[in-house]
Amino acid sequence: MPSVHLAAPQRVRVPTGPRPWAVARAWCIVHVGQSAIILSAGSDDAAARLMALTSRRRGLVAGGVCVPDDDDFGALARRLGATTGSAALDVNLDAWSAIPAAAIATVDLQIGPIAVRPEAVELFTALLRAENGAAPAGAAMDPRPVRALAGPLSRAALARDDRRIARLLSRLVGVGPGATPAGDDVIVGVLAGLDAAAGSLVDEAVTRVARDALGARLRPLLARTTAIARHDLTAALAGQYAEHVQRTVAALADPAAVPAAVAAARGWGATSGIDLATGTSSALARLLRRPDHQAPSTPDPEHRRSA
Amino acid sequence: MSSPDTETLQAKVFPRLYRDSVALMALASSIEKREGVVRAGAVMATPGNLEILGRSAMLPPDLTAAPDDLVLVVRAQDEQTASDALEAATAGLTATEQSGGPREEVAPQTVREGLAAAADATLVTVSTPGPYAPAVVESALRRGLHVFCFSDNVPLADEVRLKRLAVDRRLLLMGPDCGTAILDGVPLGFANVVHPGPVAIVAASGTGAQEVSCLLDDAGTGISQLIGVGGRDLSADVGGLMTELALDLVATDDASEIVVLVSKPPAPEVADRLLARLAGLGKPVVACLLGAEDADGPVVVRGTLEGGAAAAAALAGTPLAIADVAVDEDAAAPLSGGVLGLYTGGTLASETKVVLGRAGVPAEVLDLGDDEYTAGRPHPMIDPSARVDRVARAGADPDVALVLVDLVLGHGASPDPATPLAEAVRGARGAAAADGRELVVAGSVCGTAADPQDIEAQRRILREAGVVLYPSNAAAARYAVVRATGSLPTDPTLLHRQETA
Amino acid sequence: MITGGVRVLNAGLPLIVEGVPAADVVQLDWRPPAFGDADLARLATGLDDEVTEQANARAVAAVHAVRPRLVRVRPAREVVPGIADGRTLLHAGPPIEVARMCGPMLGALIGAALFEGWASDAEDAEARLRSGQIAVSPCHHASAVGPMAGVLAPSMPVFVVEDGDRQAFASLNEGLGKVLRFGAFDDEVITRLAWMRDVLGPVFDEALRGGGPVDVTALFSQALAMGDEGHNRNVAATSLLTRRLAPVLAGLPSGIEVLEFLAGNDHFALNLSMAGAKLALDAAVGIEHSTLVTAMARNGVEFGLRVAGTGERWFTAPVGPADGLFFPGYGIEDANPDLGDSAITETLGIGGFAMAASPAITRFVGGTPDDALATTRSMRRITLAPHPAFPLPPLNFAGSPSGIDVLRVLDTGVLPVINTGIAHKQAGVGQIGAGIVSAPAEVFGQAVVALHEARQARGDGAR
Repeated sequence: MPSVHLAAPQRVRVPTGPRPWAVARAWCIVHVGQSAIILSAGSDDAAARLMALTSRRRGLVAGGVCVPDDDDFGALARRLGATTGSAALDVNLDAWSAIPAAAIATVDLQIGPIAVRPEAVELFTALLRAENGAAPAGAAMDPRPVRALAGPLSRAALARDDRRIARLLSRLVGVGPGATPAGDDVIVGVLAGLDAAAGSLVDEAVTRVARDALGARLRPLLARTTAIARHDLTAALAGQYAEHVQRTVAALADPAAVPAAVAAARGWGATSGIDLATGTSSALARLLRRPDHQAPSTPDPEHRRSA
Repeated sequence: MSSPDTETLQAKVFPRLYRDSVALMALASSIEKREGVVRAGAVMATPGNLEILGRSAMLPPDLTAAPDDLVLVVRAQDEQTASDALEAATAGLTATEQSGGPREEVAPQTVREGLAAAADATLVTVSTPGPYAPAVVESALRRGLHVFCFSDNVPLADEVRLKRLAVDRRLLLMGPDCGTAILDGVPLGFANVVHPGPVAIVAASGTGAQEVSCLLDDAGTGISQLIGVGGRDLSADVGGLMTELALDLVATDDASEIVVLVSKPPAPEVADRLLARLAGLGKPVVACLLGAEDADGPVVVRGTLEGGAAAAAALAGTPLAIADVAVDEDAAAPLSGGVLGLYTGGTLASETKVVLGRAGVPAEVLDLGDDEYTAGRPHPMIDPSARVDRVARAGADPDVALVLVDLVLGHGASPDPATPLAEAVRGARGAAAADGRELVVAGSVCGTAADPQDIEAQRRILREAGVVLYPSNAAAARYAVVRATGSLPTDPTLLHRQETA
Repeated sequence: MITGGVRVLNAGLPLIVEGVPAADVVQLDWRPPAFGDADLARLATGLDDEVTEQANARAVAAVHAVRPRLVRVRPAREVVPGIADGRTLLHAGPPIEVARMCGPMLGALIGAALFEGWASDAEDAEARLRSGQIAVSPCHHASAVGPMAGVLAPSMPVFVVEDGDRQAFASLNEGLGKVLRFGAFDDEVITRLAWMRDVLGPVFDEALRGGGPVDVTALFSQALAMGDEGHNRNVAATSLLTRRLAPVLAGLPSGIEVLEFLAGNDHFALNLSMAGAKLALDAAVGIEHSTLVTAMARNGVEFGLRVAGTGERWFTAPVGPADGLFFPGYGIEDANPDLGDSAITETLGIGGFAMAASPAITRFVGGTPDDALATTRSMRRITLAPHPAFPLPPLNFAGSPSGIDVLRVLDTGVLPVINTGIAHKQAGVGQIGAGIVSAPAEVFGQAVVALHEARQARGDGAR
């Protein structure tokens, strides 16, 4: 099979852990876009690993490589873009192993300790409510019914109601518009919300139980969605989130940053950013209503039943 | 539309095809717009999506596809239409290859490009960073467009130059630093949802104009136009350039019968010319000049917003009734400390200073929307949490016994400004009580029943937190006077005037 | 009160227009203009008035009205103004001293000096160039243009294109490989130049007498419909030109030799495209107040820009190497900074501006037909009018975006794209790749400042 040797970029940013390009010898091109190039290790295997090379604007994603220099990124996209339409090509990244350590910035994609402020969550929720007031322009399939499940999913997860979790996940995984179906974005958002709240709004044990409950029911369903969504979900289950998710979550510590964060979310994909943010806000709003958070709570029947 | 049984459903599967979702959306909606196409979908063929397609009768029975495949489905009035649509979509997918990034969605960026996209535009709203605003404003004016300029930090020289350009072309340049306008019933910036009516407001003050328009709405009259001109328009440098143009426009506007000018007192050089212009306007005029002596000449002059609103309401034949402060036993109890005003609306803060100053009550009144306090954060009307810390701190300060606040509703304002304020008030009052003191919090809500925030709910939230609410900002300030002095003021200009036409 | 109703363009925060019915709002994707320089933005907006608009309408109409015809091929000394005075060589781009020249340009000048017999060897030629015994001057100053090093010597044959009493000139293209325009000057190069002088030039001129003149605009219009973009892909235009003259050439002595040369040189028509573009754009030079770009050219060290309203003044900025696709074995570290007068094609509205017409070229420079269409569309945002003679099929036969407006460049931040070949930085190695480059932002800022000053000066004079 012919292969394309990709020259190493000047500088890269990668997640902590093994270098993403080192996990496979040969890569296939899945997609070459304006701000992301998606490669896959191995070919048709449903468990194939994906690696996203992203531009500075898109930011680093889990298991990916961010090429912060726009010219560098453009050169990669052009080189690979020029090959689409030809027969299957291997992409060879051998040259990348020579990238000097000084040119590699390592980024921790775990959601760090964040002092989530209730008023920021309220503002975030209010802005998203406004966002969900109308169907997104140009969307042939309305993502809002899927987003509406974010609240119930958060509640079920916090209540460890396994049957309800399974029922909701089956209506979310792989469902909705987009290459990462909206439902999957919502789930990633809920997980991010739980991780953001851990240790600030509630005790970490509370969120751990909830994300474990979600994980147990989610893993068997992963084959029901696209490879890219599966990649995102798997990373989120491992506590890894793309930088743009991190930025959204960080805004929850500062109400002043919230409007900009929602505006930014509007710009990812057709609906993905708002799908994900809706998941996050739902999870946090549920947590704020729990009795072990000091804010006045409304009785939560699901919680009472399992407590 | 034909009945479903004559319709046809066709699908096409693209194995392992990944496209950015923006591209998929655009594709599906462009297919749906084709003549004869009933519905179309472009989704990843996950079991979940196939099930949804099935439920909406959009899934051909023989379709097999895997989650990483893209499926296009088209329901159309006949076979030919459906297959044509699929063919076009297939071409579209090839055409969107490599696309979908922001570079593809070329939204108009400049005024010139905006006009190319919407040739019927009449006005440009500008809220870019201040240093760039002059270029956008000039570009708009030169193309014959009115301008609402919310941006601040625009150099004075630019303001003068651009307002001259606007006046030459008989175009409105509202601002820079203009917060509010209502033109032919359309609100811009921070504006309340008021009834249409006979009163035109020309304002060099944003929240001042909001307060006057809300009080008029409350009195049962309404607003024909509200033209903001920016806080510096009546300064000696700008010389009232835009105020004069705005007055010309409302003078000839059939919907405007009564004119209210809202401003700080103009620069002396400007004042005489302005008052002469007002007197010769040909319509009844109320000049609401904060802090000025009340006068009833050819131009009615009032020194408070409430006074101006009351005078205009009287002219409109719908007197404004403000329930005045009653001195009861509680209220007569002397305060243990001073008065602190924590305002989000700058002109409301000024009005409070006028009322307290006339009564000789010393007080610290802060406009938290001032650059000094915002320090790069959003204006407190957009982000109500900006005031929370200061309210909380007042609870721990033994020198503060009474806090005056405002709450501004309407378009542009925070969706629920009352809750964070109420939380802070509760905390502050609790802290003071724990310290054996009483902290009184009083204020008013600037808004109307039709504002998006639900004014009654907002008031309730504040009352439940212990805020003493009055129907106008001036009335709340008078309450502070009563509490600070232990009696109602004796000077009649300090009382709400019951104006009659 | 607002005639036409309140219909809003919103530059900035969406919450400002929260209360306006959505159908009456167009949200602008506002970005800081003038590459973020607020003072420059103010100057540019100040120029954006009726005076400029009318001047630009005149300028672009003048450019579009030019119909260059290829009438002769003559030795440069006979037709190019100033080249026969003393020992003068012309070069690409804005003016530059010999001491600062890049390798390929110096190599080409040495080769030209040897070709003219003005020096005994390369060393001697270089010394004479450095001492000023051989003078150098930009092609653009002599109504001429040349690709890459763009070196023109008095004995070289040139295309003569004319419209009425105006003329423009360009050298003849040598083909690919070891050629003078990439700085090579060995015997093979000099021998080819001599053949071009002795055979190609005279024979082609003879053919034009029988088969000419050739309508250059019509030729390139047809070539754009056949997949050329008029800068980096010229196979259609070369074929059309060859077909036009073949019947006459075939009957001339050495005509077959010339036909064989044309058959092996896909880029032969490039220089004709450039001469035509130069003639058209020169029609706008000096139109007072016009912000139309009349020339973009690179000398391997600096990028130069000329604007109608500032006449023959150059605005310059350092130029870097083009980052494109490289031939095997080469990379950006081998590349010479961008070079040549060929960006005159983009200045007219073909080349990079007509990328959409040329799916084939997109592969060559990296990218896809979709990128090409996006490029052409984005060039619409900075140009004054579609070129009526260059309809592009992918734009539904709308004309190619033509006439770069300095003010639009500053307003949008969109820079003109230029399709370019990439030369090796060492003289004589030749072309090592191709790509797309953007003009540097600085020159547009300089132009606005100068236009503003010119306006002030005239305004003061009038008062």
